[in-house]
Amino acid sequence: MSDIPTDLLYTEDHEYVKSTDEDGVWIIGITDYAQGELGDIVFVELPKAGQTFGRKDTFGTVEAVKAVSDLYLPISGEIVAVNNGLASDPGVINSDPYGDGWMVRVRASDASDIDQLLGPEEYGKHVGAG
Amino acid sequence: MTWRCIVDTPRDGAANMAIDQALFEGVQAGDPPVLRLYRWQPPCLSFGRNQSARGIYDPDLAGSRGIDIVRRPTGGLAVFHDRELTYTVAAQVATLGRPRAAYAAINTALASGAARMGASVTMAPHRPAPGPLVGATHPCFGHTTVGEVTAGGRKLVGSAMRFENRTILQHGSILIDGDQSEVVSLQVRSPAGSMTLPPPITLREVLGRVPDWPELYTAVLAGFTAMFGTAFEASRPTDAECGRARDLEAHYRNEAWTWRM
Repeated sequence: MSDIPTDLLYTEDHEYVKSTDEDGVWIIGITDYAQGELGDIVFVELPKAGQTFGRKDTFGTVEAVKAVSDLYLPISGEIVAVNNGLASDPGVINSDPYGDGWMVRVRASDASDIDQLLGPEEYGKHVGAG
Repeated sequence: MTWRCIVDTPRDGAANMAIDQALFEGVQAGDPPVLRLYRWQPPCLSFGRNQSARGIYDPDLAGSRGIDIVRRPTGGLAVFHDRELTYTVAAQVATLGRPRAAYAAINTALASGAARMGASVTMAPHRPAPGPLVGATHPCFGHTTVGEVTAGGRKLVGSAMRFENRTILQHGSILIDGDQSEVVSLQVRSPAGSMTLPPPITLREVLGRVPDWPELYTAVLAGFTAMFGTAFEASRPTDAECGRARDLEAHYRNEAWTWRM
């Protein structure tokens, strides 16, 4: 059973969005379901701070053993911080996806993007449906 | 849903990767699933998308031996493509399931195909990942991961995947002969440890003979037919796919891509 914290928002592509103390800035990562489905993660390619992306744009890739998967940004905006520690220790995404396994912090450029995300119950149903 | 089955002509590394990606893009756009079977001419060393290669592999040495080099769009580590049959599957999640399920299903189809030729094969048990990919120098066939097709505990088929827009591209090498030693001998400085890895197993060793191409194609296709319970229609890359592949070849021939890391 995958962990779906109730204080986060989600996408159908298994990214999560977590609020921060800074208004309009959100933390993005992949969910516990996603990391479990991928298996042992061995590489992460993330953007640089300052880059901007639209909603659902590919912002990086993650490689589990053999499989490279695209990462889609759940909200449009500017990357304001990147978890550079993942480069040397990508397995943290497996062990702590919602904590030390976070990927980027994004300053949202369109507040309405948040309204497009799934709540924990909806995401739970999505995961249950495969 | 009827799949396309393309038994393709041998191509070089960039052309092979370009065709695979063109097919992948078509399936993302709604084309039917594809199974492509092909070979490499000339022999080719391929790197995984995110594998460190710059400063590790020697392009001049490869060139002097007539060996091509390409970087794949998929994950994993280096493979030397010569005496092998290569397969590609491109299909949407709606057809194959998400990556883990798709990987298992494709491997089951490949094992079924190998068994039809008389090979006694098993699926590998889970093993921890060998560590972060950055700086890894061991060959794809130097490590077995869960579900891969093995014989006697040694890897017979090495595969790699790309997952994009809820569509899967998986390709891999079914070894007919050879020991993959080129993956180590083409390195600038052969790293300690690589030479001690057990060699992969090949169809020649498993079967005690080298199957001919028609037998290989027939067996692999029968394995996929049995696994997916679907019809396969003989096909070729369309003019549009060949046109797109020609554009993509420029990317796969670009040294900035090949040696990007």
